[in-house]
Amino acid sequence: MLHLMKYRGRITLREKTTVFWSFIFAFILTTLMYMAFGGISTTPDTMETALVMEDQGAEAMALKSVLTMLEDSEEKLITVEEMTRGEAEKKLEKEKISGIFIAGEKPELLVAENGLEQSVLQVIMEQFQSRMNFLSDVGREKPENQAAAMVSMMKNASAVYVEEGALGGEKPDPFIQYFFAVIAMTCLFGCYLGMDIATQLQGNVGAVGARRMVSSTSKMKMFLCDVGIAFAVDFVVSVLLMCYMRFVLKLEIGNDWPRMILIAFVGCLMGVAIGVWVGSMTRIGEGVKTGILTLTGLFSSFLSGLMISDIKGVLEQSCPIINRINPASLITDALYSITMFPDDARFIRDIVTLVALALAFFGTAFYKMRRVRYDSI
Amino acid sequence: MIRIENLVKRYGELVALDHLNLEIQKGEIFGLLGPNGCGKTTAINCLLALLRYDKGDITIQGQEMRPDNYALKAKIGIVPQEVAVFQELTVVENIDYFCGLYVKDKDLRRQYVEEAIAFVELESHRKMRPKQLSGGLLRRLNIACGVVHKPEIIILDEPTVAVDPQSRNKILENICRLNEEGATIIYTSHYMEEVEQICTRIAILDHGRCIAQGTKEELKNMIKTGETITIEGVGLEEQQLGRLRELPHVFAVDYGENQLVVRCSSAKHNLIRVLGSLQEQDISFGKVYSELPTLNDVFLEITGKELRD
Repeated sequence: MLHLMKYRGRITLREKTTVFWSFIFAFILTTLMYMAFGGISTTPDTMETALVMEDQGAEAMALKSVLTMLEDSEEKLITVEEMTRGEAEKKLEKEKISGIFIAGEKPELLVAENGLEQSVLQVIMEQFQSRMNFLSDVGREKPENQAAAMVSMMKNASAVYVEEGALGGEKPDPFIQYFFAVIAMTCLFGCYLGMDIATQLQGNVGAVGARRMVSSTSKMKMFLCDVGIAFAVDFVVSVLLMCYMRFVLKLEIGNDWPRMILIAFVGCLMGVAIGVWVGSMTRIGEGVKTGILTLTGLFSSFLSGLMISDIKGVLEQSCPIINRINPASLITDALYSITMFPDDARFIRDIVTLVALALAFFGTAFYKMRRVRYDSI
Repeated sequence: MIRIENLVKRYGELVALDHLNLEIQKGEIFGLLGPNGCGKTTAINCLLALLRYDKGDITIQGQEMRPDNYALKAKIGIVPQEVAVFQELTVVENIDYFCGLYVKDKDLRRQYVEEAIAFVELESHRKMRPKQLSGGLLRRLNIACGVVHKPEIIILDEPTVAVDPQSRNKILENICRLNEEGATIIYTSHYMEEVEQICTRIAILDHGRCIAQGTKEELKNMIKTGETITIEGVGLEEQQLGRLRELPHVFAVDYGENQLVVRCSSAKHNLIRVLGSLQEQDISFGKVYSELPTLNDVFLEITGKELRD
């Protein structure tokens, strides 16, 4: 078995396309995102903004409190001046302010142009909405905790964005959700390794597969060795990425390493399983399979908030089942549930779902591949 | 040693193997000859328990060939038509990898790998990746991966396709050496010259059926053609062709584009008689060839078409 594993490791690490997309890309993306967001969250310039109070409801008042606390924080990320909508729009037009927070029934942000400052304001708004969604979730799932969560959030409102501890006692970064999504994407990119394994385990797909199938080594043994190595490589890369984020970039992705490693473990298992499953389809070509995996990985990550931070919240309200079965969402959710908003039940649910999905994918894939003789080659 | 009985394989309406019967003895170089699509590779894949077949029995050394008969599989080496190696591994790593699928002992494996590299003369290319090798060297690597574990039975499926003549000769030499060392060889090809050159017994396949089987001499004795005389640069009329057809032992005369082809049964002085007839009629001619029957003639006479059609 060591022989098979040694060579599977070499084959995996020497395949340049796989190495780039599965490993290097994640580090490049993380670094670029850090350069784009990291500086902003650590040494922000103060931005002048306007607040227009159009409603006196809970959400509008919560927004006002959050903005006030942001203004009062040491970093002084923003200054907020309350005014009428007309006055605010005039100031925005003359570029005297960077944006207008409308505290209406549904809070909004108005900006005049696209730029770094506007992006930061956008993130503040998204973070606010995300936390309001969270409160709504708490209200739905554990109504008895909603009041405590509201108090805690209001008390720590500015900390959520800038400085002090959030609900989990961590020191969160406003952009951390993007980095969680990158971790999820890296775990799931193990699918490419899984697809290669499946291709080379079938006698009717490629010549190498056929040669291996007529050898005196059992398919199960090859399957276990290949999957073991693909998983190990993906897992090591995912953990290294977490270490890079935490210790090199000093991002607040959490300190609960045993559970973070467990998330990476099941996430990578899931990634490889998806790849093996897609790779076990014999009626479609390799190019199509790669396309399916790329789309699946990116779409899954997109739905978990890789590009739009609030999308998970939107899905939670409109179609929660997607968040319950989307592998990337499950991974980011598990990371959230041990860092931002500690919730053991939610963490366990995410992990169990991931394991169950991975086993289902592995099981059906091996069932398909186990066929002893082929109808055609 | 290997027995294939009444093997039938269908792909939908297409009958790829039609009650194929073959018996291969220990120590033979058994050739499966036939045009592309005649069922050679299908037969091999059924033999290797890769393909499901509709009817028939396959036994090797008296045992049924099943996908999980690993003991039997350990005795077989396969050199597939398509080069089947890992592009990410070097020559020596590829050979070692495939050897490791059969041989667990590390020292023995190391010895086998070195012997295989020497056997295919890839010593100076051992650290190269497959994409750095020429077509001929790649084919040699493909062979090394299939024979490295010293199997008793070696199946080579068109191993010389797209190979330059020099490498082809080298490959054929190597196959003969493997046979001399005790391996039973099954060699499939659509190149009749190769099969004729190295095989001790030959089965000719067409449309999934074995149309003839035997040594090359036995196969040639099955047909009428004993000699084919070709004369170029000759101008003939129908009357003159008629006189040629009346010559003893001549059973077919074809003429076209100033080229005359006369097929004769086995007899002495066929060439002298044909040339004498032309001389008597005062007919001039250019180049003259006389060929003994080939497997192509066998195929032509049995099926009515050229082997390369």
